[in-house]
Amino acid sequence: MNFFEILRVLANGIGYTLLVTLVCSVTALGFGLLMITIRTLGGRGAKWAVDAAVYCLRGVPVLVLLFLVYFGLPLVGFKLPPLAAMALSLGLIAGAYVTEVFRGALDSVDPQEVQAALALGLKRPQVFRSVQVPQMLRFCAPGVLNEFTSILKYSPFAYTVGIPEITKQATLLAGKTLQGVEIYLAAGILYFLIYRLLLVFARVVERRFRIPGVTAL
Amino acid sequence: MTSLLSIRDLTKQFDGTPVLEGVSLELAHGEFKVIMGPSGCGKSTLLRCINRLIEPTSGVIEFKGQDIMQASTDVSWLRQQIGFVFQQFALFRHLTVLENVSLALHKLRGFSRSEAKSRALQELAQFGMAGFADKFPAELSGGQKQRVAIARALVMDPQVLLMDEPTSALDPVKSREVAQLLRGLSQRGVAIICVTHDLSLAESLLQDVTFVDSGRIHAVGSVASLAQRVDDPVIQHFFGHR
Repeated sequence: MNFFEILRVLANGIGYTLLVTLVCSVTALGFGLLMITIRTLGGRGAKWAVDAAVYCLRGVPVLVLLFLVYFGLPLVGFKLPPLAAMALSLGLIAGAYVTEVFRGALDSVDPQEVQAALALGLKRPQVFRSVQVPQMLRFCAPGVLNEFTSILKYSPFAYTVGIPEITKQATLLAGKTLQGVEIYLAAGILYFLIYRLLLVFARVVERRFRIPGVTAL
Repeated sequence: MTSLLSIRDLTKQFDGTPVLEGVSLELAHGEFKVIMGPSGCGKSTLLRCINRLIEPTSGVIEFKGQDIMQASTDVSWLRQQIGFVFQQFALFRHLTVLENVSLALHKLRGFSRSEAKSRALQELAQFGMAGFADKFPAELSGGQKQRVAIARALVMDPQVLLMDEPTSALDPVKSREVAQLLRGLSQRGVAIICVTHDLSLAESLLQDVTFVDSGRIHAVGSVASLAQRVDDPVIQHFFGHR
């Protein structure tokens, strides 16, 4: 097979790679937002619980959690589809890192602005939603983008639970043709192109929501 | 004049260190009170206790005859009645000038976004800032930020305005403009407590000054009369460089 034919076959996995990356990224964002909201607005106990959850999730390897979720949960009666298992493993672990990125970005919001919003009479949840979160989301862009690229690079784990993404296609093709070097080189190129696409998208979003006169972290 | 705000024997301690000790003062409708004192004397803490951004350790604060230290006090309502302008203005940097001024109207008073913006624009116009409605705080000068911060507080129609070091970030020309602006506000019927250590501002406000030192009210009088107290080491230390 020539190089372009290899690329064409591997391209069958692009959709699945994008799907896994998207689902896990959305899960990570949602989980991160939920955790930082509980951490900020909850009491001391809630803060402790969030910190403990984030600490534990950051310490678990993605593949171990994926196997626990995909092969372990059916033993207690919960059979999950492969994509959901990815979301509950890679998505949540990335979400723990995103929570940490949010925490850092939240610290960059001027505490005087929070005081000023409270002094206007806004209640604590209103201050969080109207003053802190909009700024946090802007300041966290580089860190969150970093996490999304990590998710992309961990997405080949989806292959272990049967999702036919790029690496799965590459492994199948390498088994048939024994052209491993060319095939994995082509897979690397495809991953890099998706990474570039992600960067362009992130830059557009960053530019769209830039605050004049305020530089990000 | 009847008392709008009454503070009696207010104390505040941070980790056992007293910052305010037995402060008492009265503020009538439309009255203008200037509080002076050296840095760290407790002036800003006093302002923050008044609208409960900081909880006092003990003492009584009454607003319109109601004890606002009670747990049942609606703190959001209280803060809408007592506006606050911060030392560094604390404008929301992700919002435009118009959004800064209209935010609380929309969130707290039930105005639609467009109604809130229209009302905010009227308030900005009173301070000559309507033309800057679409600018972001980082695009404004110190004096312009000051005006927006005042408009943001006043758009809620507070009965009291607390101002923390309103001229600390401004040059002398802008400071004189602020003094003029504050006198205008006072004539509008808003009661003001202005905390400052800027002697020229205190002089140009033409008001008696409450002088605070080490968390206590040390003296009350005009700037000129205080400056003549040659036998008072605390005041002489503060006024000494004149």
